[in-house]
Amino acid sequence: MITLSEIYKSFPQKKEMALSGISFSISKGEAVALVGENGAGKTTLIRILSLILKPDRGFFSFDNIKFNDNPDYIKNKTGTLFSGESSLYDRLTAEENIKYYAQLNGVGKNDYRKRIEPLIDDLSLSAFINDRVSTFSRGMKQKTAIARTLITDPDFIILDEPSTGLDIIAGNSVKRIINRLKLDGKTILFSSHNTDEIFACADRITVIHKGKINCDKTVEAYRAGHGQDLTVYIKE
Amino acid sequence: MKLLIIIKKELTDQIRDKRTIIAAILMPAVIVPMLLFLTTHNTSGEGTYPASGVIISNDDNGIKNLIIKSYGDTEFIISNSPQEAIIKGEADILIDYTKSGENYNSLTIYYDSARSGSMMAYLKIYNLLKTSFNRSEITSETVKISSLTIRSEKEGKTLLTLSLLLPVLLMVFAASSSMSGAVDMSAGEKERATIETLLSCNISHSTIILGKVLASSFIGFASIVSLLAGLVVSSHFYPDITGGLSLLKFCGYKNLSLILFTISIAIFMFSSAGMAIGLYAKSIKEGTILTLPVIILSSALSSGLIAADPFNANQIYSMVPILNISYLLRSAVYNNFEPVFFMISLFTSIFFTFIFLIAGTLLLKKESVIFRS
Repeated sequence: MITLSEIYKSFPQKKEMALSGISFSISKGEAVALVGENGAGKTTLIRILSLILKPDRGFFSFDNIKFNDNPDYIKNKTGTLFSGESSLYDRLTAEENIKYYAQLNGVGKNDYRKRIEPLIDDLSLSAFINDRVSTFSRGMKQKTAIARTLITDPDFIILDEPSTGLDIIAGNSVKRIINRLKLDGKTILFSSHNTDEIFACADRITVIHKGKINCDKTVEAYRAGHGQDLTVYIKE
Repeated sequence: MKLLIIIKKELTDQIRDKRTIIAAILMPAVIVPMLLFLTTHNTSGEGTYPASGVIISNDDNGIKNLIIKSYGDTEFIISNSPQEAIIKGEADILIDYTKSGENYNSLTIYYDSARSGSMMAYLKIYNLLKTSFNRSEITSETVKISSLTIRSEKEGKTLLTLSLLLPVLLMVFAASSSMSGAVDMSAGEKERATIETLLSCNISHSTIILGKVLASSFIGFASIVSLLAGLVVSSHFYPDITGGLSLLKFCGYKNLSLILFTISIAIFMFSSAGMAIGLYAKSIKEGTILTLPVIILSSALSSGLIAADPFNANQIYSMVPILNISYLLRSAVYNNFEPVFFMISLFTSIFFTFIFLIAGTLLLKKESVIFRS
């Protein structure tokens, strides 16, 4: 279980707080969709949870271990897919990118072999696994980046816009993977602008607006109140 | 172990970049010897100096005969405006004199200090006349006149060529190849948005920095080995590009190894500096622009020592980074090694490398620098 408690974050070049008192928790086997407009603070929160940025105040913990007490433990348990055009090394092949990340996170050869095959199948990577990333379409890059995130078999998975750039079939694969990861007992936080993806995968919807949480409801409760209109809490 | 993983990945990444191969390996190995060939094959060769023209006031036969005895192929030119002829390159030197009867009162040699041909002709004629006049041999037709130098002509030219070119080429390639690699490995991570994933890995910042610095140092080292190998091979088949003697024959394995070791110290320092600069920069382009002054400084400081005595070091040089390595390289060409100067230079370079490594580690931790837009 991951628990966020009163997280604040500001940047010197901006007057407004990037995050202002963010608190929520995600249980084991639960997927939470982080929703919000561009610049709402989603990426900042994801960077904090990935231990790239430090919060000004507040804390978060995983399995009751605070991030600053044992950052190595949190890093070992967390896998993050960052948003962006690529975030891969263009001159390396897809497998070299995945392997590099696995090795840096201490994944042994045997574990790597066991994990890479199912990922190749799930994400249909076999056709281009040994090709250089520079020749890839955006969808192929995204699939490779997802495989890289999951190769460490993390317990806490953060996916920043995982279906961006993917075609319908690949997008469905991502939904299937998220739902299977939930069944495997993983703790999942994913940000998305894709309504179908959110309602197909999330157990809860957390809307972040101008650095604050405007809504944190179960999908059922949200749907009962607002249907599938995700802009309700963003407008306020 | 993770250090090796980073080094391996960075080297694979760099080697697959065509620009790196061209700039760091092909250019020093092939293009530099080719340029040297093109710039030397028309001007070098034995007996070139002083063949292209000597002007003697009033076409004095005494001096003319003296020169012909030593350098038979000398061309004598008659000109109404001799100094202008030298400036225009029509002649190399002018010998002017005052005479009382058969005795010479004074001799003045005019030459163009900006032209190597004129300089060489001047040196030869000056030595010849000085030797002759000191022995009062100018009027004698029976005494054999000759001038002696401590080095052969080829040796002298090779030494001059290498002492001028080698430190500058080595420093410029060491700085440019290692720093461009370091910038690609640091600013490139920002530009490709791979830095977030890298920082989220369970690996210390200092290991990341050290791994990348070692990888970029390897690129710099490969570039220098290519440069030296290119010069060794090309000067073996065409020695004129290094002044007449091949690089290996002139320097020998011992001095070449010393040169390689000395430049390695600079490579490590340049890589560390490039890493800190690259981490500060927003993009590869900005990083490359920021490293330019360091490359220019390397070129300027290494060429600025041309007039310095390679056997009498100013100890202050040893505490100035780049300058100290340049001096050591030039000394090595002259087959000179000063242990005290070398040790101080080594510690100074290590000190600055350490400073750059700390700066790089701190910059990697600084959120406002890593995520500045």
